[in-house]
Amino acid sequence: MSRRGPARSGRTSRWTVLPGTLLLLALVGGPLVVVVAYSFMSRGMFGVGVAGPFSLDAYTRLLYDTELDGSRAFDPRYLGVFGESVWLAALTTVCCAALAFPMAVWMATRPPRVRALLVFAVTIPFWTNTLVRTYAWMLILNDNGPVSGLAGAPIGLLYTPFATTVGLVYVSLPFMILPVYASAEKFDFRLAEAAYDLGARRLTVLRRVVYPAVRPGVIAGVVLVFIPSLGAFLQPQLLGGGKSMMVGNLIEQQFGASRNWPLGSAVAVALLALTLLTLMGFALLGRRGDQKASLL
Amino acid sequence: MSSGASHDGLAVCGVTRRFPAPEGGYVTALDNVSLTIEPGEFFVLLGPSGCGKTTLLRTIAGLEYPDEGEVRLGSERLDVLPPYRRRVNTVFQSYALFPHLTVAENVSFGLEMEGMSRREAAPLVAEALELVRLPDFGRRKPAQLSGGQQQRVALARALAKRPEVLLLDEPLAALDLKLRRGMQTELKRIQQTTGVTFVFVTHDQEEAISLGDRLAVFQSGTIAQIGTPQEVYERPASRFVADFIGDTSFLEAEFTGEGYRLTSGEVLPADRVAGPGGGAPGPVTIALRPEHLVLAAEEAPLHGVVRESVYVGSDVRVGVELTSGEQVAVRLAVGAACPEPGRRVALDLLPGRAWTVAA
Repeated sequence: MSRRGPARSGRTSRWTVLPGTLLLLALVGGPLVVVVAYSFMSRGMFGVGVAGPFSLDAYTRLLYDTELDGSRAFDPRYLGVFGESVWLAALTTVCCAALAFPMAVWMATRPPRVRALLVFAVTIPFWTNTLVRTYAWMLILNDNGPVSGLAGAPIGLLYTPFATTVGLVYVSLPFMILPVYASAEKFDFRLAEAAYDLGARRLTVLRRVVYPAVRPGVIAGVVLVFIPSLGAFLQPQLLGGGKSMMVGNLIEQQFGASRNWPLGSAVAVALLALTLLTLMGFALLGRRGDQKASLL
Repeated sequence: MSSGASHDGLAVCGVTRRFPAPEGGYVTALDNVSLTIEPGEFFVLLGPSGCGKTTLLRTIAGLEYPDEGEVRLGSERLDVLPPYRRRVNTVFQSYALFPHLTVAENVSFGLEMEGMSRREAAPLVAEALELVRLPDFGRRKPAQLSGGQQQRVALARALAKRPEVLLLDEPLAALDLKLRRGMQTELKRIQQTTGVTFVFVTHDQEEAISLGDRLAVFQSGTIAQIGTPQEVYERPASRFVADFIGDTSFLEAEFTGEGYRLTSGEVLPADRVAGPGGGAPGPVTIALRPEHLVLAAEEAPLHGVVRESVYVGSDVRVGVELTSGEQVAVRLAVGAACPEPGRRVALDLLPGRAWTVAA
């Protein structure tokens, strides 16, 4: 001990991160290992749990249907669920971005005190449980609800992909508004004046001057909306009425009613892979922007 | 690069602009302001901060709209047009270069707004960068430039559009003294080569005098005086103008017909002071500049005690308290016999230089 030099600031911090690291490893890494391990096993007795040994059956089942005679045929149904999920998540993301961008820019141009109030208002939905808020949408959209009341006749909005998307957009919108607003707030609106002065019209100013500055916020918002939407489970179940199945519902079904834990795990691993790929794509997109900034 | 001044001048007619005040009511930023700027002129709007000069500039640019009055460029009414329809461009105080674009893309931006492709704009961009002496900086980002270089890019970006009128909003305020001097010379050169009408806002009276063909001195939303730098400096229209421009001392006096009697009883001969209102006896205020005063023999009209003596490099500034109690500054050449504080001195005025002003 006596030979140790003066403590450097970097040395003490190494131990302070230990509890957090251990907790993360145990709570995130542990279940992940279990899910990956399950996905390479077979169904247990009566479909409860899993049974060894190593098997690729679950992954095969994602793509192929095995007939009783043992012959295999390509089965697009599970891929279709993934496709539906990507489509609905993408639609949700686009809707959120389209709604959030003008909203965030408008918020950023208010006086500071109004801005603080608006940010506060955007976070109000977080105070209520998502399940409760989703039930509220069921009440709004059902055939006896206010929307049908306004239309004068039941228009069958509930239990459609439209209802699912509405629910997803509603839940995700704050996650788009907040990062875009954070970028827009830092934007120097004198640049917009300069663009007007140089002959740009309103939309051109937004597209060529405001948007490039706000882009990092938009990318962050897209990640925050797209990825949770991809694994969404509540909205397709309650608002979509289980008619359009998303990956989240498929997983729930395999662990629940279908009692096929290996297949559920395989779907979960595939979703994880899809998520990672998406994140890498966005990272690449973000980095390309940076590189352009540093090279030119 | 000579877009030339094809218009018949820029006219501001009775422009009034009010802003809502935070504590309620309105603040009048411009109060019935009228002025005419000749084609190809280097016109300076001078005044302390908050006097309305920047509001007028923004009104010409189209970033503000007048509550009353109109702005005309030749026969065309400008104040009803959006900024993108005006052949007027601005160099902003903050430069306002687009940080995500290169220097060349910044300069190209305004040309692309006119429908040019980037390729079509390229020669004009190169020409504009050449004009501001930054020909090799096209591929850099604004963040990689010094303040002075950013200033030049902002200038090139505005000039590339070949505006009829270029508006400059305190463009040199952020530069250090030496750089500012250099840029002043550059601006004058660029204005003369291009023949574009320059409207230049500043609060720096020295800058205004050295750059402007003519200048307008603003005082809380109104114009106190319009004239050439020489007229404004030597023949200030009011005490405000005299005080704002140059280093001025004021003496209260009574014009008796033959001379000006100071509050101390000393009398300045009539030939020492010029100015309006000569003839009718009555109270006047005399504006004096340090270069109007000289040390003189005992029989000179003014007497006082030296209070301070400051070496400023090019000369020595001597502060004198007159018998009347009023303070004046005298400029002496370095090396001349320099009176130390506490000494009594006699002062005389060079004939016809001091000027009477309205209070």
